[in-house]
Formats: sequence, structure tokens, C-alpha cells
Amino acid sequence: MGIRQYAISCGFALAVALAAVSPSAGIDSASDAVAQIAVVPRHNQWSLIDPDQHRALRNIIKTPAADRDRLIRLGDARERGIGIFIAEQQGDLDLLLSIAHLLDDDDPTIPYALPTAMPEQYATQTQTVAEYLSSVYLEWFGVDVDRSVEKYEELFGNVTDSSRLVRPWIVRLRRARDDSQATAQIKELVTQLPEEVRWAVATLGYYNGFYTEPEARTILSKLSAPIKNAIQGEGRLLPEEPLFRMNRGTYRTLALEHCRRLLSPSSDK
Amino acid sequence: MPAGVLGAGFDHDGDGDVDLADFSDFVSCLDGPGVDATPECAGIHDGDGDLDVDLADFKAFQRAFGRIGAVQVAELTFTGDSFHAVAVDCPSGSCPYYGTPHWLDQNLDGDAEDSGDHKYPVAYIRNTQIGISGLEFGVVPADLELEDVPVLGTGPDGMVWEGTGTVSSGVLVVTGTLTSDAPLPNTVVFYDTLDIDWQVALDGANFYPSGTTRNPVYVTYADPMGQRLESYFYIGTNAANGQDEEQPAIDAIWDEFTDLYVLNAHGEVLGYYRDILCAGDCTYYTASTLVYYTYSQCGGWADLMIQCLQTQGIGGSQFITIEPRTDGTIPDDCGYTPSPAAGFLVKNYQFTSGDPGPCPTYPFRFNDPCSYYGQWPTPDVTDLPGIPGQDNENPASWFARHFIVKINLQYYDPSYGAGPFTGTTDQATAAWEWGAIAGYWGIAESSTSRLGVRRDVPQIRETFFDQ
Repeated sequence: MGIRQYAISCGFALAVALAAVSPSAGIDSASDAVAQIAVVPRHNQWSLIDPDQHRALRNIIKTPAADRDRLIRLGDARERGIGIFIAEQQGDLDLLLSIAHLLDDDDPTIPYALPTAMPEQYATQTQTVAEYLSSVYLEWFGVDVDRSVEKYEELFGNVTDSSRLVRPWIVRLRRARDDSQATAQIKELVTQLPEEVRWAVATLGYYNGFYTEPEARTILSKLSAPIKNAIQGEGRLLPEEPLFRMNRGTYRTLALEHCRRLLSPSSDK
Repeated sequence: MPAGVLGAGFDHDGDGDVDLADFSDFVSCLDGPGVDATPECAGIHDGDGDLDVDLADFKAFQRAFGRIGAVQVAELTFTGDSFHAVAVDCPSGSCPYYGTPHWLDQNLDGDAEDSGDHKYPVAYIRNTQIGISGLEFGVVPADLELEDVPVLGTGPDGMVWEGTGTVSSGVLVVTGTLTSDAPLPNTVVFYDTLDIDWQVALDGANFYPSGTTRNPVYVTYADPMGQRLESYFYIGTNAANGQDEEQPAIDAIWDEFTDLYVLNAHGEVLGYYRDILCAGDCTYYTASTLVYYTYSQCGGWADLMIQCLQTQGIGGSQFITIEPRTDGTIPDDCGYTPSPAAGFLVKNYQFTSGDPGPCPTYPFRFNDPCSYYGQWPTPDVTDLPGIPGQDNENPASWFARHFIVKINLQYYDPSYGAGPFTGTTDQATAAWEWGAIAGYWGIAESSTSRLGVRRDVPQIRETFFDQ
């Protein structure tokens, strides 16, 4: 009931945005979209509900950038949440990194769902814009900025090029895993990454199940000698990434150790 | 009464000082060791609390002689660059933080246990200094007017706070913020109470005991994140006490979950489902509801581990969903296509029929314990005591999905204290699956929505770890 009431209250602005997407979209689609966004779990459960199975979600995530940005910039708190949802689904990291000021936004926005141990059951939870944006950052970058602009700046201060961040590549691979063509495209893009990022994506991608061991070994075998030497040595090789900065030694150590194992001769005959 | 409490400590006539008038009374009470003192004598002159008044007490009297007033710490507030407020355990997503002052002894009786008193917990990051502001003492006699009165606080691990204050109208107000000269230890530390012994020199030179503040203090590995509930600090700091590196701290916190006996900050045992057999009857899914109501589903336990790590400033842990695969690895069930329902049974279950059921994919007839689906008159599957969960020998074991935690490429199952499962995602999934799963259920008869179970755990990854 709560979700439905909310869906009606912010349906108009959303319908305007949806109208730009599809001639058939309208108030009903907007209401459906909001209701369905509300059952998209946050944190690491993003892919439990397939947007392709939800017509309204499929429409809304195609919202043009201008309309999406207008929702974030001019909409009420709930519409700002919808704009964040669209940007997150579209994987527009540059936009997400440009709206960190919303970490100060404590107005209630779209609720989210917690999956339970029971079939088809979800528990609706309320959240603020700041909480939602924090969870989006956690999903894409693996770090908790804790609804704090200060914390965000501390962790993301040196980030100038989101395409060079390792963690988002793992997220992209995960989201594409049921689409072999999309997976292949992402893996091709990974091969074009700078070496100091590529080795980490291949290593962590393998340990997350997105690369086979031969695939990972192949990528790593093509690294230049200086990079390989740096991996085998104690040099600072990990990219200046929020995830590595937050986890300090552990993630760095694990990534390097796993990569060294993959660079060593395989025991398989 | 404890030393330092106003009116006590050899001040027989209650004028705030210890002088010859009080010595006269002391001598009248001096009956020697082992002789029970009268309540009146013991209350004032039994300095060591052994219920007599003897020469040992006389030594204490000598130390107190000349004191020009009595002082008792009344309140203080913790502060500093690495100070973090602690939130009250509550079931909602926005629990309030404990307020200030963090120590309040309104009736100046030497503790913070009475009505109107309180002692709140606080948190700091290791190897940082503790700041104290709003420090006030009660003073008798109330007509003293003094300035630049030295104040000294002595805490554990070599921490000392020094400052000065002004006495007026029976109150000593310490100026500004006092910062400990030494930092906290460079490890996680659990101070059940961080005792600070306060001394004040009303005469500017001779310090006399002025009470002890005793606040719970949680010293964390790094900058705390997340909801910062008291129980998250309590569990994590207690478990990782003494750790100064991240992975050992993670290991220590995980150890706290493996004995299936986890306490919240109030000493209550936390449980997995408790006496609830139907998962759907347990409506607590989050760490905050778990520590508040003391039990929850698996989602609450996975969340609790993540929150305990986050309050230690250890991020990067992931909330992982385990679900049966619906990608075609398992043959379609005999109900619907695609399969609308699927889940698993956590060990142990007994399979009693050799009679093939109606569905080849799920040959054993199974009645879910909560009649969520259709029920067979003669099921083939019986729930047995199995894998114990947190404070629960035989928790609910029929699920559609399960929640665990991934940290640094390892998988932990806090609900059952199992793990970590290591290796690649496939390897970890297989290890969890072989250890926990008795079978997979799906719809075996579409017309009745009755369930069936696949008993064998196949040599393939059948669960799906969402990441």
C-alpha cells in the first residue's frame, strides 16, 4: 500500500520523463516503474530482479540523459531517487560521481526491498536520498561513504577517470554474465585498459568467477616485463582506487598474491 | 562511602575541609584493626573500606589533612578528532546516538547508576588521543571562589589529562578541552569501562581524589562506518581486542560467530530463528532488528557481520545472496516453465521412500513445514535435527534463498558459523553446498503446487552466489 501511494504522488513528473522514452508510456507506466524500483534490492542484490521482466523498468532505464538529469536536479526527493536509480542502471559513473553533494540529502526517497529467506517475499525498507546514493556507491565502487561528503572526498579525492577503476569493471562483468555477447564486449574493453588496471581486473575477475583460469593467465601473460616485475616485487602497483585505499593492506596483498599465483606456471598438465 | 564523595573522606563536620576538628572525631573512632567500627565512624573514617578504623586509616587521614574542600566529578563529554558517537540499539534504520554529557552523576554519590545519572558508551580510533570537554565537579563548601584550580585525570595505558578550572557556586568548571597526553594503544581495545581517576588541587598544590568516571569505550581498528549501533561496536571490539592488522581483526571477529554464541551489548544471546520453524514467521531481516529483538533470519546475521566489520572501519565486505540456479543447469521442474519456485533444504533430512514420485526432477514428495505450497498426504522427506545455527540446535531449514558474506575473496556464513569458504567463486560455492545442502526443492505437481526434492548434491555448482 505504501509503495502504491507513493507511486501515484510522484507519477506526473516521471510520466513526463517516460513520455520521452516511449509513446506508450504514461502515468500507469510511471506508477509501475516506481513500484518496481521499490522492489529492486540495494546493496549487492541489484541483479535479483531482472529489468527485462519488468516492462516499466525497461522503459525507465532508457530515459534520456537530459530527462534523467532533470529528475535529479529539479525533482523532489523521490524523483531524485528515481534519477539516481536510472543513472545507476545505466552505469553512468561520471554522473554518479558528480552528485556526491546529495550525500547531505536526508529527505526520504524511494524505498527498497530486502529479500527474505522465503519464496517471493521481500521486506520494504525506507531510505533517504543520502542512504540510497551511499548504497549506489557501495555497489559500484565497493566502499561505504557513509552518507558523508567528507568521507566521499577522502576516498574519491584522487579519482579523475572512472574508466580506470577496477571495481566497476567487476560490476559490469557481473551484470553482463547472462549475456555472452555483452560479456565478450566488456572483456574486449578490459584488454584495452592500461596495464596497471588490466592486471587487477583480470585477477579479481578470475576470483569472482568471470574469467576462467586460462583466460586470466592469457591476459596476465601479455603484461609488460616492468609490470610483471612490479607485481612480483613490493612496488605500489594497485590503482589509486577507493576500494584499495579503504581496505589498505589486505586487498592489496590478496590481489598481488593471487596475481603472482596466476603468473606462475600452471600445475595442470 | 567512596573516597572523594562530597561530605565523606574524614570530613566529620561536613565543612568541606579536613582539619583538627575532624582529627578529634577520628581519634574517637580509632578502635584498631579488626574491631567493627560504628556505622557513623565507618562512613567517614574507614578509608580503606575494611570496616574498622585503624592505623592504616590514619595514614589516609594524614594524606587528607589540610584539604580545604571536597570535590566530586559530576559530568564530562568525550570529544576529539577521532571521537565517534555510538548509536542506541534500535530496530529502525535511523537509531539515535547517545547524547551528552557522556558521564553524569547528578547526586554526586560517586557513580552514574542513580535516577537521572547515566554513563554512555563512546568510540575512538586506535592510536589517537581522547579529548574531554564539559568537565565539571561538585565542590563543598559552596562558598569557595577559586581560579586556576589544577585538575588531573589518570586513565589506563598511560593516558593523563591535565587542565585548570574555576570554582564558583559549588561547581568547578574545567576550562576548554583536555586532551590525553598519550594516545590510545595502537590496537583494537575493548574497555568494558575506561576508568579515569580524577584529582583536584583546590589549594593549587595538593591533589586529592575527586572521583572516577567509568565509561564504556570502544577503540576501533579504523574509522567507523555504517549505522554504528552499540552492539556492533561491542561485538567487533570485544572480539578483535588487541588486533592491529586488518586480516587478523577480521579473523577474530569471525571467530566470535563460529561458536554460535554471540551476545549483544546488553548481554543477551542472539539467535538464528530461535523457536520459529517457518522462515516466513520470522519478520526480522536486518542487523538492527537482530540485536534489538535478539533473533532474525539469515539476512540479519549476514548484515550483522558486515556491520561489525564496518564499525571497525573495515569495508569491502559484501552481502551475498545464494539462490538455486534458474539458468537451465537444473532441468525444468514438473510444474511451470520457467520454474517459478525453487529452494533448498539445509541438512539434515531423511528420505524414506523408494517409490518414484510424480516428477523425475524432484522425485521425493516434500511438504514444506508452513503449508506455503500444496501438501502431500504421504510425504517422503522428514526434517531431522541437523546443522545448528546461532543459539539454535535445529533452526528453520527450508528456504528459497540464503545470505552470507564475502570478504576479500572468502565466503562466511554467520547464521551457521560456517566457513570461510575459499577459492574461486565456484570452489567456494561447491564447498558451502556440500557442507550445508540436503537437497533442492521445486514444484513437482503443477495442479496442486506440491513440492518435490532432488536429494543428491550434484557435482556441479547448483547454487548461485550473487555478488
